[in-house]
Amino acid sequence: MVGEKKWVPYALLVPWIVGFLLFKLYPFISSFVLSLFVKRGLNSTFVGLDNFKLLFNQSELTGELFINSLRVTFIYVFFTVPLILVVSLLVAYVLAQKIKGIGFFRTAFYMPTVLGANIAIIVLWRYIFEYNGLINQGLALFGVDPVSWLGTPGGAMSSIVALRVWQFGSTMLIFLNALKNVPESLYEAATIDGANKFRQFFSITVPMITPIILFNAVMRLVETFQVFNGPMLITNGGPENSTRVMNMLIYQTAFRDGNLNLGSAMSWILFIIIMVFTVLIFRSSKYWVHYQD
Amino acid sequence: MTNVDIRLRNNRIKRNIRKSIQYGIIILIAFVMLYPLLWIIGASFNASANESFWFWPSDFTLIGWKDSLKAPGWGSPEGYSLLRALWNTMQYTIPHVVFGTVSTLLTAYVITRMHFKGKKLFFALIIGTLLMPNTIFRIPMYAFWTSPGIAPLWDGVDAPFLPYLPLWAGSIFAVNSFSVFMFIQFFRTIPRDLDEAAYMDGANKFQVLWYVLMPVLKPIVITVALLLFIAEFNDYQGPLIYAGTVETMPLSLVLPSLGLDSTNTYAHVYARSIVGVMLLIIVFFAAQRYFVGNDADSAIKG
Repeated sequence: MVGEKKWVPYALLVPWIVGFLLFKLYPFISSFVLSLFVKRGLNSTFVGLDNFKLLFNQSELTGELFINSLRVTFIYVFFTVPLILVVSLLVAYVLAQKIKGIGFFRTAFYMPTVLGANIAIIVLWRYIFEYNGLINQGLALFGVDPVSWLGTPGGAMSSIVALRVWQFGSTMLIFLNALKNVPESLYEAATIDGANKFRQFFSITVPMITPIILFNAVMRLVETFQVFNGPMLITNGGPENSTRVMNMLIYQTAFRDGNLNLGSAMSWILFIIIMVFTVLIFRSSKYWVHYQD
Repeated sequence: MTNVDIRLRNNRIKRNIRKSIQYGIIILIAFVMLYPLLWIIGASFNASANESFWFWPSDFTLIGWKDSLKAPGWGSPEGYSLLRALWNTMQYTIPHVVFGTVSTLLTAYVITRMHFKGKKLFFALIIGTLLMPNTIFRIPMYAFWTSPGIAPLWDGVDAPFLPYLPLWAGSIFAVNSFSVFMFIQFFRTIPRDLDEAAYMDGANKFQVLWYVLMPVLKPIVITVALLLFIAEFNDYQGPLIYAGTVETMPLSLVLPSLGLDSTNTYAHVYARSIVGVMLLIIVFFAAQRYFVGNDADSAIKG
């Protein structure tokens, strides 16, 4: 590195620095400031934590809706994240067993991740899950009675969870890559010791990839807490607000009703929840994550 | 047959059974995942779609496909063409992919290949913002873009790309931390000897990046660009918030507004949706040999 000027790296980082200040730090602080004010007409009045108190006041409609959205979002996250992790790890594990046509299967399992997030396909999910839609037609082949997917709270939640779990492709690719890095010699030694495949999976495979499980769990957690498209387009929050998740309520409060202050307060609570869970997972990681180096 | 022969044969049978179970599982899951997508194709040719589980259209029709580019009710009773909505989508997807890839590549290059004070802080901030939910930035950014001083820059501007400025401006400034992170992970796998040799020959930073590292970086550049493309092409909340006039609506806003009605049958809706994802499929298959079939995904690992 001959003749490198000290300022060159900083100059090249200017775009990122501007982006960080203008698109991250400024809105981060600004949304907190917004959450402390109430706007009446053209005047903003400082109200302290009143917006937050309102959100947790069960006796008001706003509070009732908000607490419901918290509950619904938690249900969504607690079903979706473990399901994605289990399904993607299982598929990745099978694909890692030197299977023929692996290229085809990887692409096949990634297709829903590309297409399933597209609005054109999400819209169709509505028809696929309707009473005489594809899912119920498929269940009928096995003699299962039709389910009112979109008409009942449980059914509506199941269909938006299914939409997301269907898109396990990127999580699966990350696992697959991690599995390829588990040394073959460990399995050979275990086979000689008489451990079967099932034992090997739980005592070699899983412990070896715990750092990747941690990474995937955190990334999916941050993402699923902010779910929006499915509830908005498939169930429209219904029935009876059973899928009106936090991000949807924030959107409606801030952009449809124009209450940026209350919307900011909601988004700060969402932020704090995500941070608490992230910190808890990282804290717990010392009990279950094994680093090789 | 000796005992050894029998044991070998038994082992082979066992292995074959295990392989069959593996293929069975994997084919079953692939079928469950892909069948809805296949079925949609069949249903778009079916005059009585949504009445059967089977892919093959029971009542063949081309009615849906004949009008598949039309969006009746969008702007006027007969509607604009869906190609217009596609072009609207591209007006923020293209700048987002181009600027996003270049700016995050440059940022990762500086972080991994240059020496300067505060490098650890920069890296920590990139990882920190990776975990920040986008939701928290959205409301203040909306207030920013719609403020009287800023809105005239984009709102209702009669030029390509610019009316969608709030959707892609951030990509100029490397705001996509995940892309930066993926590039950083990949840079770390490239031996520094490669750079050093080029410096010996008198190359500068940019020449090293362009002529020496770029050929090695190709798969990750394509991967990052593809992921940015998919995310932006599929974005819904962004366009929903910054939607301007009816004419500027992108695919993600036009398609949900075209549900079933007296003139639109299931075949219409399904055919139109396939048109809506066609470009996505083409781009994905053009880029995927660098993506899912390649070591590039090593960069995604944590």
